[in-house]
Amino acid sequence: MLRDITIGQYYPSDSPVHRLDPRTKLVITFLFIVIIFFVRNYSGYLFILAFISLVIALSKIPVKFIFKGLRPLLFIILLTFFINLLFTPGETELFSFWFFRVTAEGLRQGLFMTLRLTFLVTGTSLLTLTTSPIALTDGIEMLLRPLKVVKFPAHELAMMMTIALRFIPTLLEETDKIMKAQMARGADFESGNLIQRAKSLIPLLVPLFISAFRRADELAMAMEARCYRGGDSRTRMKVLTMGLVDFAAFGVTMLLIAAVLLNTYL
Amino acid sequence: MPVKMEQVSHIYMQGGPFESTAILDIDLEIQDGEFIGLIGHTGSGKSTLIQHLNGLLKPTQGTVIVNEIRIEKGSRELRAVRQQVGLVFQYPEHQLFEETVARDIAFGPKNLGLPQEEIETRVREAVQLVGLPYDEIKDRSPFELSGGQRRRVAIAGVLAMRPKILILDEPTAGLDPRGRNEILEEIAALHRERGFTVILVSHSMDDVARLVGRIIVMNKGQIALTGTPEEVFAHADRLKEIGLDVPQITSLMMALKEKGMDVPTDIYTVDQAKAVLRKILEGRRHA
Repeated sequence: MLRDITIGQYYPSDSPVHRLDPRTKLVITFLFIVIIFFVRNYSGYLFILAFISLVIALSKIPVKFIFKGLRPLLFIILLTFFINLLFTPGETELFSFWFFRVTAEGLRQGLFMTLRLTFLVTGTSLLTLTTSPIALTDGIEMLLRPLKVVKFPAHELAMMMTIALRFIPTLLEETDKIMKAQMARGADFESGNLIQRAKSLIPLLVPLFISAFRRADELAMAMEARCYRGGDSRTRMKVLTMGLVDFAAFGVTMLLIAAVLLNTYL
Repeated sequence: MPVKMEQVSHIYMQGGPFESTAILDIDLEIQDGEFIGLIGHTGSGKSTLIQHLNGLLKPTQGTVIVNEIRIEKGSRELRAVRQQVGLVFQYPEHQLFEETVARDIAFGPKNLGLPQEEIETRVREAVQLVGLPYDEIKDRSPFELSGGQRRRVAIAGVLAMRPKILILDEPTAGLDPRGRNEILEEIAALHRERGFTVILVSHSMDDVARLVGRIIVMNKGQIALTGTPEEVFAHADRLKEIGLDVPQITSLMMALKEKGMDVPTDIYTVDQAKAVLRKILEGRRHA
């Protein structure tokens, strides 16, 4: 049940996209998100689609797997579509029923929003699918480093993120285990009204919190025992280096940006 | 209350990229009052198998029949099974959550919807079954007890459901040798004196060999060997192939035999070995 969540999951593979420097991927993802909002007509989305398809093809991740990750968001995407479809004011009426007026502008707006959301989610999930959490936080740390001048704790933040990400699967597993243990004692997590259900979570949440604190304590102890201390003068095992692939990736992204901007403003 | 598994398979994340087969075509029958040791490596499918016996997992194929209740792919309402088959998970003390020991143990019976007096009797009985002093312990917080005591409280929480079959997944993990012996002795007593059908999951041959009547060895999701301890340990080579071993004392006897001493090798407890070796040594002295 809990294992079906694929958002933020890493899909290990050996592909050019996987080998890219995490900083490159972070910056490109950011640019990608920004440029999506510059698209003003359908042909603009063709460029985006081409870009995404290229990345997916290069990353060797099965398309089916990516769509599976979209499924939990289907509701939100559909809701956005229908709200835009039904409530966008416009001139050209397609048809109307009850007190709804469906207009050409509404339809267009709805489709645009749907495409935008889908591409946003696909693009960002490609980042996490092709980048291991460790590499990702390393990249974030390096990108935030210049902010040290204003006393921004880049390393500490990155370490906190690494630890948090590291513990997601552990805690999910633990939740699953405790849930089963309580179900073996006749607990029922699935029926009853809202209050009953919330109450039935206590036997799950209390042990889960206790175990999270215990793990945090043990981890802190283990880090201390190995003389861990913050960021300054700390060397790393894997030093990030930019290579040819990274420049190529930036090149392709620049092409996309140019194409979209030209398409919008010319 | 016999248990039967017919052609049971379980596949995790079927159809996904991480699909994995945990158990495959398991046929198994367990009679009333048996004491079974389920042995296998991590990942051999032991835990998956036992979760089928009380309906926490449903087979992707095949049928599990517990006391005429059939557990199949789409089965619902398996609470009756869960009451009859008590499952104690690994590190069960991690499931404790209530403010007092008594209330934590009462969680199970309460879920069964029993009246208050009945719950109290059951809690008292369960605490005594695991060898803890009821009056001393009932109002204390489970979190201020020692590790071994906490584990006992958690086991009592399952016993309070009054199951007929008791399954314990590595009940001695993380305990010191003394704590380990105490828990195993209590489990053996539950079987001996209270007539529980007990399934003890372990990866330690030594623990299991001296207690159980039948051993089931799992390997890669299938049953590799099954039989009395003597029968199973006779296949020492097959066990080694799987990556398991005969009990230490048995391998000692095998080593002695190899060195030319005339000793039997179907020995799996220290006491048996002691008797045999003493006899041989005394025989030598007289000769």
